[in-house]
Amino acid sequence: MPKQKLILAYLSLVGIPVLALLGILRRGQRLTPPVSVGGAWNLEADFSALAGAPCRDLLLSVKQPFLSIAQSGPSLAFTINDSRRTTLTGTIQKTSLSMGPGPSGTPDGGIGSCADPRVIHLVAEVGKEAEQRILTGTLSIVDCADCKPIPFRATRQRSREGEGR
Amino acid sequence: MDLGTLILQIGVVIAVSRVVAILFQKIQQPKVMGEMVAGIMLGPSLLGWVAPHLSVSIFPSASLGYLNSLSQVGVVIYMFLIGLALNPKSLREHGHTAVLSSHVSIIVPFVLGSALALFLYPRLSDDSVSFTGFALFMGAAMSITAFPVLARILSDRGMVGTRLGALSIACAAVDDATGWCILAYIVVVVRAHGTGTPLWVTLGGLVVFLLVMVYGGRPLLRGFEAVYRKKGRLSESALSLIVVFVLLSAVATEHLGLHLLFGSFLAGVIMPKDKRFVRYILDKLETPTVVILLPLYFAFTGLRTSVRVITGGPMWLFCGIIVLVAIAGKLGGSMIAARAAGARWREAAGLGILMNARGLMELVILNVGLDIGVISPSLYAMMVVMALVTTFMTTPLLEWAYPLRLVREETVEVSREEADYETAVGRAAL
Repeated sequence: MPKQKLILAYLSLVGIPVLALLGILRRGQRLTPPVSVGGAWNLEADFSALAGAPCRDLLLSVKQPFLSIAQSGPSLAFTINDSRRTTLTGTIQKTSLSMGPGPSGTPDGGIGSCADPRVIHLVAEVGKEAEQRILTGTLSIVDCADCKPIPFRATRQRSREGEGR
Repeated sequence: MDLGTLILQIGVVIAVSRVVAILFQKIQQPKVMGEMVAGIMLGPSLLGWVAPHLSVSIFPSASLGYLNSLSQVGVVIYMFLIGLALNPKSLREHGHTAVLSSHVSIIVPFVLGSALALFLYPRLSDDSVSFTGFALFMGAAMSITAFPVLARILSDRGMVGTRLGALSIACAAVDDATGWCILAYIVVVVRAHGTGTPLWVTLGGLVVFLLVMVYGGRPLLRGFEAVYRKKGRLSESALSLIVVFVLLSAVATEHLGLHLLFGSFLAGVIMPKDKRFVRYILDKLETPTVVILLPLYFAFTGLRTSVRVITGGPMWLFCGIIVLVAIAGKLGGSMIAARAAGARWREAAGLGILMNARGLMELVILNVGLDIGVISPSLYAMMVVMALVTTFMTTPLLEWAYPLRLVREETVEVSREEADYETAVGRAAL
C-alpha cells in the first residue's frame, strides 16, 4: 500500500473517530443520571405504634441492614434482610424512591398477608446529611388496615467497591 | 464455612465445566465457550432459579468469598500467561496492514461503545459514576479481543500459517495490550475519584513501578531464560520464583490503586520472548490454571450474573443494542480497516469475525468494572450476554466466510516452531 494512501487511511479511520470520542465525552457531561441509592441501608423507625398489629413481628424480625438496594439506572432491586431474603422491585424518579409489590404482585390479600414481607411498601425521599446519603419516608403494608404507615429514616452503610450497585 | 463445602464446590464446578465444554466442542465451539456457559448455569440464572435450595446448599453466600479468592488466583496466573504469550515482534513483522487494522479495530468499537454510553448512562448508571469513567469503560469493554480464543480457533482450523492467521494474531495482541492500558487508566481515574487518593500519587507510583519492572525485573527474568537455554529446563525452585514474582507484581499494582490483574499481565509482558522458553513456561503453568482455577473463575462470574435482572422489554432491547453495537464496532471496524489496508474482502471479513470473539477477556474486564462500581448488575449481565453471543458466533461465521477449503489452499509454509508456539498460546487459555 502506498505510504500516502496509508497515512490518509490512518487519518480518516483513526483520527476522525478520536475526534468523535472527544465530542462524545464532552456531550456526556451534560447528562444527568439518577441519584445513587445502591448499597445497604440501616433503618430507624418507631415500631411501637404497631403494638398488637399483625405486621409488627414481620418488621421487627428484619435484621440491620434492613434492606439492600441494587441499582441499574432508575430501576431498583431491593432485598429485605429477613430470613427469606425477600426481593422486591422499585424505581427512583429524581429524588423520590418507591418500593412495593406492584399491582399484580400482591399476594392473597386479607389479614394473612399482613405478615408477608412481599407486601412491604416503601416510599422515600433521598437526601444528604453531612455528606452521607439518607432516606426519609414511610413504610407500610399493602392491604393491611391494622398496620398504619410508619415514618422511617435510613442511612447508607459505607460499602465496599461495587457492592450493592 | 467448612472445608467440605469448598471442596464440594470445586468438584461440582470442575465436573459441570468439563461436561458442558465437551458438549460445546461437539458443536464445533471452543471449550472456553462451554466453560463460560457452565458458569452461568451454576449461578442464579439457572441453578438458583430452578433449584434455589440446592443452589444455596452448594453455594451458600457466606462461602463465596473463598471461591472468589481461589478463582482470582487463577485469573492472576492466567493474565500472566496472556502477557507472556504476547509478542510485540508479531506486529512489526506484519507491517502497515497490522498497524492500521489493529488501531482501527480498537478505536471504532471504542467510539461506538462510548457513543452507546450516551444512551445507556441515564438508563443504567447513577451519579456515583462519572460519565467519562462510564463511557471509557464501555469503550474498552467493546474493543477487547479474546487473544487466546482467537489463537485456539486459528490453531484448530489450521490457519496459523495463513496470512489471515498471522494478521489476526498480530492485531489481537495489540488490541489486548492497548485495551488493558486503557482499562488501567479507567481504574486509576475511578478509584482515585472514589478513594480520594490524588491521581498524581497513583500515576507517579505506577511510573516508578514500571521502571522497576523493566530495569530491575526484566534482567532477573532473563536469568531464568539463560538457565533454561543452558539446561533445557527450569528447576521447581526457579518456577516457584517466577510465580512469586508474578504474585508480587500483582500485589504491587493492587496497592498502587490499580488492580491485581495488571501486575500479573505486566509480569508476563516483560518476560523474555524466546519461543521455546515461553512454550516451556506455558506448558508448566497451564494445566492447574486451565483445568482447576479458570473454571472457578467462570463459576464465580456465573454466580454474580443473573440474567433474570434483565427484566422487561426495554431491558432486553438495551441488551440487543449492546450486542449489535459490539458486533458492528469490532467485526465491522476490523473488516473495514483490513480492507482499507489492502486485504481482500473475504480476508477482511475473516479478520473481523476473529477479532469479534471476546471470550474470557471480556469477562475479566466486566468483573473489574463491577468490582470498581463503574457498571451496574443489569449492565454487567447484558455485557456477559454480549460476550457469550460474540464468542459463540465466531466459529460458524468463520466457516461461512473462510471455509476450510480456502484455508488449505492459502496455507503458507511456516516453521514447525512458529506453529507450535501459536498452538501453545491458544492452549494456554483453553
